[in-house]
Amino acid sequence: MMKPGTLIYALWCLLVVGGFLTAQHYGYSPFADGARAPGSVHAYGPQHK
Amino acid sequence: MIALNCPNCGAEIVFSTPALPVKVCDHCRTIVVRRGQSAENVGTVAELPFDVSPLKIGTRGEWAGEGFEIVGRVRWSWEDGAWNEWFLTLQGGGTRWLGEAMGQLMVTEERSPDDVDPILELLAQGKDIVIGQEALIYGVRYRLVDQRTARCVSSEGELPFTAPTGWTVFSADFRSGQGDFASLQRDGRECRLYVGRCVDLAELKPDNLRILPGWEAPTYG
Amino acid sequence: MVDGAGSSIHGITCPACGAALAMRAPGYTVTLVCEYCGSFLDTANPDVRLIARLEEEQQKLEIPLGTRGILRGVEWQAIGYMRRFSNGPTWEEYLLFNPYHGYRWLVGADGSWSFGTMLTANPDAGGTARWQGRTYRLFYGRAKTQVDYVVGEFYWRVHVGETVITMDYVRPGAMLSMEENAAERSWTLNEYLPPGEIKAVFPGVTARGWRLGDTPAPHEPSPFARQFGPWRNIALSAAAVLLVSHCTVGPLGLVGRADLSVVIDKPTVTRSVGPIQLTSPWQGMTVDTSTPAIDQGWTDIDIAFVDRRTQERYEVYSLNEHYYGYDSDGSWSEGNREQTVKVGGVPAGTYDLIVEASAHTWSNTGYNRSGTPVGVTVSVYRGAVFYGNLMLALVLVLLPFLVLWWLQYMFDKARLAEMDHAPAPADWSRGRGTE
Repeated sequence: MMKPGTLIYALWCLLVVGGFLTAQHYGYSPFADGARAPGSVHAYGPQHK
Repeated sequence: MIALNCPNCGAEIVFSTPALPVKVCDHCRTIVVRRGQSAENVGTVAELPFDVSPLKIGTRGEWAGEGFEIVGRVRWSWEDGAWNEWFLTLQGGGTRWLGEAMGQLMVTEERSPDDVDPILELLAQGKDIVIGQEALIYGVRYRLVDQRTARCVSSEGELPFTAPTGWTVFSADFRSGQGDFASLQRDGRECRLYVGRCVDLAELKPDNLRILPGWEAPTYG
Repeated sequence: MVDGAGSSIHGITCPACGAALAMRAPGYTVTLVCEYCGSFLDTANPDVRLIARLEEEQQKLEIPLGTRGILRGVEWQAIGYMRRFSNGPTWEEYLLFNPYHGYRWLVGADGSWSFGTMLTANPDAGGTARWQGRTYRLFYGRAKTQVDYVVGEFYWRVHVGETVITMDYVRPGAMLSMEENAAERSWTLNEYLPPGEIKAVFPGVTARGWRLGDTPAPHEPSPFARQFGPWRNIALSAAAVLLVSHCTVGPLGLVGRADLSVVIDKPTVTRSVGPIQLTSPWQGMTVDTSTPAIDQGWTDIDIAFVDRRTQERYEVYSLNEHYYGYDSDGSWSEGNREQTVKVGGVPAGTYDLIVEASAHTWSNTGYNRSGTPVGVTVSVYRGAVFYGNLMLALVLVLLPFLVLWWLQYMFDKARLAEMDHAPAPADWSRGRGTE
């Protein structure tokens, strides 16, 4: 039978790859230069027709 | 099968085959030789010392496809120890010896020592041979591993010759690199050669082993 | 099982100290060393003779003589013990006995234990040895081995100081040992016993698995061997998945562009570009900025994406600069006039791109271009490739495997350091796996 360490390593890799693919889906990266700015609301551009 | 009475104590002694004329009386340890229908007393053997051999007279097994039964034993001692030689009769009528020494077992068959190897001739003449000397015995290459003077401690059961206590022989052992074993025994001018190989107990598929209190005998299926 | 449960034992009295001794292999035992006083007794014949009278305090053994245990399916009784040494360290050997199976050895060196069986045939031996289809490599060359201490029963005339020449060959899990003197040569196959196995049978022994810094036994199988293959496969599979999904991300699509003219040291210029439709549920954004004319100064460019419906802002900053000069080493230049910045996690929506740029001169260069206009170009692409994500994921996925590989290397290096034959580089493939 597989040693428990091997199973844990496989699950770890699954976790990392899953995380990578999820980040890819959401276009997310901890290395991004910019991101959503907290809360500010400025009126730019057309607000209404 | 012939039943006679022990000339010494009168107990019944059964000789199972005409080929084996010697038997040690179980009761008084007299060596009895059967000549025709009469039994002759040729001496007494000492009591066998206690040992934990798993074998006994009556143990059965299989050797080279043939069934065997242990019918006799000779116990030898030398300067540095002692060993047993169990005498076997095969179903087909032949006989073998089962040597038991230092936890090792070997099965040998008596064969003619004449015209086998010059080394055996020299040993038969009482010459000293160096340990490690090579010999070719019945197609197998051996080296001399041991030579010693052995003294018969005692014997029991049915035997092909008389083995009285105190009988001394010169014994030379040969081994090959593959587990073969041969032994030359010299008594005065008379030589006997025994050729065979090492075995383990399982290979012999033994049955009716000696019961040793405190040890569970393995079952060989 | 308790000794004395029947008549398999032969009781004798030590002629030196009078102790009652149990001879456990009567008929076979030739030498018996009294476990109370250490005197040597000759038991080759029924009358026990005293060879050497000693009055030594006997050592406490991890496996007391008479102890029984089931190893590899057979019950064995420890009947003798000796200690031997060769070129330095000492090791211990227990003589095990079972009347139906004969003798075996339990050899302990430095917490590593092996189960030894004497061979009745000789292996082929030279630089390597071959036995029953396996190959063994020479580990310890010809060495003088001596008996240091004896107690209990033996089937030959053992004595302290008894010397033999030994050679040892190994493969992972087993050692083939040769020993010879002038009269004879014998071989023993010593099979490595994992600490779990020996301690389950004889709990009193010292045995433990390898730890970093320990020296493994010459024939100790690598504790990492079994895992190496599976871990390597897991690592490579995960890395392959990461690389494939990284490389199959679609190309970036240009969604907007702004060209501004900014006057150095004058107020910030703002430009708005839109609408920019982002249709994927989520995406990153890549922004290329360029200020080809800036010199001895910098431009601050603030970029924001504002969702028209929710008014949420996604902001990023780019600093474009360039400086040059001359010093004792010659001319130098520093700074980037072009940058690429990336924004993460921008949801679908209709966005306006807001660019705010200002340019400045570095005051102490004596190169004053205040008032000069410089062009700023901002190009925006839907999508972003984050190499950082890939690197981080690869490191996390490969690191455990690399640690295992390193441990395997350290194990074999420590093991081979003890080898006295010709030095070989750390041999992973031999340490790896039991063939």
